[in-house]
Amino acid sequence: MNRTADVVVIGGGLIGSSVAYYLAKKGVEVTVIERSEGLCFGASGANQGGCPFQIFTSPLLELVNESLKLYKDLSEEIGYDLEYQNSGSLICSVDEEQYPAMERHYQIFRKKGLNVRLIEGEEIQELEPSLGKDVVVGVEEQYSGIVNPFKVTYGFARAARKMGAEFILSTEVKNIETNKGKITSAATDRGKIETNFVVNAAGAWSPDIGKMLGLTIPVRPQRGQIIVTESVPLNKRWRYIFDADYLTTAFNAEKIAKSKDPRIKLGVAGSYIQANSGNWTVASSRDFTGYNNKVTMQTLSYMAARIIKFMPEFADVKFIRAFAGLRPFCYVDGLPILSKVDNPSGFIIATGHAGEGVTLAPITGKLISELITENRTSIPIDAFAFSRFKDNRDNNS
Amino acid sequence: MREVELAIIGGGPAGICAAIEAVKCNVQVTLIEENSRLGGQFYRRLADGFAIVNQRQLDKYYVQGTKLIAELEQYRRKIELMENALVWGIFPDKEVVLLRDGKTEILKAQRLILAEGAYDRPVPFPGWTLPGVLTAGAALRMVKTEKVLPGERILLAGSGPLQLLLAAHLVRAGAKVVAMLEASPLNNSWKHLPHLLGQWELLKDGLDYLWELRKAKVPLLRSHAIVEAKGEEQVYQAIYAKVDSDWQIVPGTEKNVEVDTIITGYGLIPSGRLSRLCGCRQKWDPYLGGWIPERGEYMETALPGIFTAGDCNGIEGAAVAAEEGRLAAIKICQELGHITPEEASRRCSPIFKKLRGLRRFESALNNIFAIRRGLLAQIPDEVIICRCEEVTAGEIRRVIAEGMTNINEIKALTRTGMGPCQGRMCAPIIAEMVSIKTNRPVGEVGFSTPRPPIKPIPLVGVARYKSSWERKVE
Repeated sequence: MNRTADVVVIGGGLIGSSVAYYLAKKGVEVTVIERSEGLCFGASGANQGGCPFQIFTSPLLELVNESLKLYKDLSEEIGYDLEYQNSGSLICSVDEEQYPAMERHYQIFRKKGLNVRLIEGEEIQELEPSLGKDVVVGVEEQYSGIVNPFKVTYGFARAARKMGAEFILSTEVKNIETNKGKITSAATDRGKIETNFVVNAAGAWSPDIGKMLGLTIPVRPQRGQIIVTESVPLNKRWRYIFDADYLTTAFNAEKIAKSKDPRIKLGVAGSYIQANSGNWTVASSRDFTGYNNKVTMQTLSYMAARIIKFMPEFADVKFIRAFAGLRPFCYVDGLPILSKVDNPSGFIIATGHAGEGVTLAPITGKLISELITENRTSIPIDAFAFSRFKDNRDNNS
Repeated sequence: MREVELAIIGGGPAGICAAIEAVKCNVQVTLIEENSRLGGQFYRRLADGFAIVNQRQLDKYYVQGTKLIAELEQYRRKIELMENALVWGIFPDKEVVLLRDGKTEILKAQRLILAEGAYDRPVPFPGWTLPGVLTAGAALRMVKTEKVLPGERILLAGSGPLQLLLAAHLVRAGAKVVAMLEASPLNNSWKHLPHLLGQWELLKDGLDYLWELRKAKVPLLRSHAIVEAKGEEQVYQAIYAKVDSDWQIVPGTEKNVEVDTIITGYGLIPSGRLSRLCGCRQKWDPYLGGWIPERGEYMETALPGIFTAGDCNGIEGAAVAAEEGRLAAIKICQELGHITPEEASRRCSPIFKKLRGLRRFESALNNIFAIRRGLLAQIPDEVIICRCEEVTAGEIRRVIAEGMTNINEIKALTRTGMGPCQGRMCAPIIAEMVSIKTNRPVGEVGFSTPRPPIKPIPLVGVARYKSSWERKVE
């Protein structure tokens, strides 16, 4: 397999496929290398397909906003149904004490001129009978979306292939070769590909790729467990519901560290999505146990108890499947890394998306393609630069 | 969570015999059965609240099962029997997760025997999802537990000895069996005859059943298979035809018959959900029914402390299952220090001898009745393959044609196997479809990644988990 490519992308997940698509669209000759037998075998295939909006703050919010805009017309653009729908979402609380925090949350988005609504008391149950009486306050918005993450990955890959991109499966990159600070090739277990650009889209495994070049990519696998329920009648108003605790478990490391609640320690806070098929996915959890992608009884139990608190009828709803994904989490600041590096030139990092890989896949592909072909991006990405980390180089290299 | 010395999952012949053997050596045994009564599919008991006045109506296997269960009952005080307990997962370190009385419990087992049994092999054809079309296992369950007949005019279609047993049960219970279709030609059975000899009892059973069918004037049509079930609310007609040696339908030989019930019995598939969930390495053996766990001569898997026994190790019937259960238990007794290695080998050697004879017989049967692929290759595009998610053969073939040949990829893109049965029914068919299309052996196509729970359970059962860790009850 001796060959050449303009760009080699490592990783056939959501990010890698999106990068391949946007590069191919610009006429770049791109080869994607995937270790598994198929695409989407890592975190890209173990998530809810949610593209939330109202849980973010700057600088992620701007990125998310652009990505959601791309999703709107993507099915049409690539000629493949990604099952995108503009679902909106409700974030809500079962704790009276969280009332002021929800009010603040509402004000933040209102001040930005966004279409949000604070809903209190009985009105919540009137609008959505499946929510229980414990739910005291919520904030509704119109921007979030839901997609089928498998279809997104395969859709991007399919469209990229049509424009000449190549996807090589069951193949592992073993080394990245350089000469005078420039990338010259990617060596795999099935031969070498000469190239001047390598994109590291290996998700939770991206630090291993960094190591090949003496770079320390501060990412580690964050396990997220998900329960899938049987199909039940569709909710009346909200099919994307957040537990207000999600704002803590997803973004507030300090508060998690201080908390004495074992549920919060395990990162369990609801993110509930009902697909068109009527099945719900019940998430989320966040813990760090290396590359162990097994579910645990403790987390499943907390997640089940929690959704019953929000939607009491779920007590009798059957749980048909549970699985876990390993997300690339940047342990320095929790933000993605979308960046070139100084040395070697031609190495681009696109990882650290944590739980937002689905949401950010389109914009990531677009920005990385701009970075490679134009050396600048349509929106600023300085906040996601690799240079923000002080010790980003192995000491012994 | 509490610790147990030996957990046996499945109260069929393998599980019961393992329990008896282990308890004799003073091993602390926990026997877990999903149903309300022991017996498994083969020794299935009458349903709760049913009694038989005329004992003669019970067949000899029922009586055999009664004896076996009675033997276990002798040790009732020494073993922990959990009935109505559904094992829905096994987590690392042999943690058995089960649902009982609406709550999840965890047992941490020093040793584990998985005796999961087997289930009916589905073979789709137009109309197979109609009411009135059922599998042999389901029909046997109706006849055995509740003495209910599935219909009045019944066509049996399939292959193998289980059909014969079912036909005899139906005839005895007064049903009109319009015909029994056997897809295999049976013309080379004589080649296997030497292997069948010696197992006189099993052979005699078969001949007895044949004689019963003859007396009842049930036509037995060799090299014939069901082609289509017709009906709207309920099946009213069956179309069947001759098939060649690869079970390809011979065009122009179609005939039809009025029926209200069609029972298909193309043999069984080993149930491997728990062994796969544990991560036991699997191998593909078409003669034993498909994917089976790799195991040694004492039924030990490559995972320390985990054993598998019975039909989940390959379809070889109740007699083999019982002996496999015993072997596993004796080995475990030795490993746990209850008996010496010498004693273990003394106890095992007659079992090995018995197994050799039984296996010769079963493997001859499996050779005669092994499923051929012609029927699967001919499934029309509009036929539903995944019943849970209603995915048709055509949709699956389209994805395969686009180059998706991994079972998990096909699942992701078509939703096959995402329903409550997790691909138990459709995955074996899809694997064959991929194999036919790509010319790769089914063993290379793989199976879908198993996920807990292996059967759907209510969320409240998971939420109400009695745990050993500190947890604020919400």
